[in-house]
Amino acid sequence: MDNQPDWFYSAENGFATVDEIAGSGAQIYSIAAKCGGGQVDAQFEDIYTDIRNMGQIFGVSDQAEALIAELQATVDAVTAKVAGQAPLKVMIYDAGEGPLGVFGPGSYDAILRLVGGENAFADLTETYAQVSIEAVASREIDVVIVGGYDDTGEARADFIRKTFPTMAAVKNERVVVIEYGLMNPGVRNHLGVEAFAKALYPEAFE
Amino acid sequence: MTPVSTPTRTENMRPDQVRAATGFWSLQIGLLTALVLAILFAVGIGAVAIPLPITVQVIGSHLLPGWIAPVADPTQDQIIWVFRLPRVLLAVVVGAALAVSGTALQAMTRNPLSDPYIFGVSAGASVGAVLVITLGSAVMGGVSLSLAAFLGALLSMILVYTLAQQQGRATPMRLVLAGVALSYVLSAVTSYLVLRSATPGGGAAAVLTWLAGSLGGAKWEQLGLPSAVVVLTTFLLIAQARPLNALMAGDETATGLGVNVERFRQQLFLVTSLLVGVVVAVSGSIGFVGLMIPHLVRMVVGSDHRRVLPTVALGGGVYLVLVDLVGRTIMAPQELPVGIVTAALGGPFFLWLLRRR
Repeated sequence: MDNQPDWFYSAENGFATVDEIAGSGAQIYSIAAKCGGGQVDAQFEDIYTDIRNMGQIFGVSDQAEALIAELQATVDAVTAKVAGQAPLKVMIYDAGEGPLGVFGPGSYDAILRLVGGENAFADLTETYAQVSIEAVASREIDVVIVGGYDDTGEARADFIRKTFPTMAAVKNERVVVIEYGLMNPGVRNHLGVEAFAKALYPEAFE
Repeated sequence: MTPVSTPTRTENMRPDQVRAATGFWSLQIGLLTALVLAILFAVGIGAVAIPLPITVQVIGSHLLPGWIAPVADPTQDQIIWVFRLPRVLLAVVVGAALAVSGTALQAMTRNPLSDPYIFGVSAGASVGAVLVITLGSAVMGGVSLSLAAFLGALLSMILVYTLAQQQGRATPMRLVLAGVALSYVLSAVTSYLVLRSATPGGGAAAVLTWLAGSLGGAKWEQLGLPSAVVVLTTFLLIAQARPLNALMAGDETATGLGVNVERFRQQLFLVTSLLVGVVVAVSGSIGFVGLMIPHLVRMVVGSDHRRVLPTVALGGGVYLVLVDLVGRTIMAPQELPVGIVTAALGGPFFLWLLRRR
């Protein structure tokens, strides 16, 4: 607030409340797509809404529309490749060796649905939860996506491989680390769609 | 765990002593039965529903291979044998260990507020565990989470003992103060490590779960060492029940009764810290058990450590099995760390009990 912003871009991550910011005289834009798994009802198109709105705010609507078209072209190309494949049950795993932190419905789940995956924990009421190890063992999971945030990604993938040897994802070598940077809402999301599609149906990209 | 030095000859006793002795043994048998029933009950229930006959068959097929056929579904076998049974047994071991060490430390410091973590053992273990969770085992030279936690506990224990020394003496007051001070320093280190790694997702939740105390990652290979240490130290402490009783009466009384107070305290510090370090390494710091169970038991059997120690060991085991069962089923498939449940259930119950007395 020391910088006396004219405009405040907020992902509602709790640094200041909307009221506090409005009180300082700045204008607010609260983005539609949020980080960390987002909101339970998140859609992939939320990121387009944000790009479009920011294009308007900064008076560059044409560039925004061009960017959206570019992203959508990649998404279309990817979804075309994996169209008609049998749906796969996918767990998006964060960390923890019991209980395990996994993602329920939300923005990662939205990417998953786009490429024909089904979230193994779509029944959770929250976007992120600590679930018991036995629940994971019983869910017949075809693919595990391990969220990458630092150098521990492969070690966490190895924990899954070692702990659930009878899981289809482990038997078929489908435990894949994907950086959160690609999944979190942003202009690299089309790469996230591509990474998810490759994790689920690698044979479609050969 | 049977008590070793309780009066068994009744012919020279007054009638009220006979009654107390019989009551004590009934209580032990009752608690032992409760423990066995709690274990069976807890193995039969979980986030995934498995029919009782299947549960029995899984355990039978592992205990008597060749006699009982394994179950057809490998997932059910894994859930019961690999995840659930070791977890329930670990709850017994950890519950007993926390209750026994809490009892000994309350006597050693002559402070009813002492709990197993008073000397900073859990804060040290937390730093070790959080280092592995946030940096990864590879960066830490391949050290596993529980080994790192144990080393952290050991290191903080040595530090506290060294810092509390003054002219070769470490009084309980100095030990407690050194423990509290070191705990604050180490939890600052833990908080810094968590903040440093606070990216979306980013394992912060895994750290918080560990800090709250959880049995969710129990494995068979984690059971051996803690079990051996718990059984050994419990018997060792029961054998030292008389000096422990004397210590409760005050240093001068204890010295008068022929106890080398200085050396006895050192031994108690070593034994209990080792016990706590071993269980903290596999369960994180589960609060309140080590504070509540000893007080609860003293209300029932009095303050004689020959009676208190075996009773807290059994009682602590039963309590933690049941509390963990609540934590892992109440929101299934989600899980509440057992440390949250021990405090949430134990706190109000304990307060109610205090008011009733």
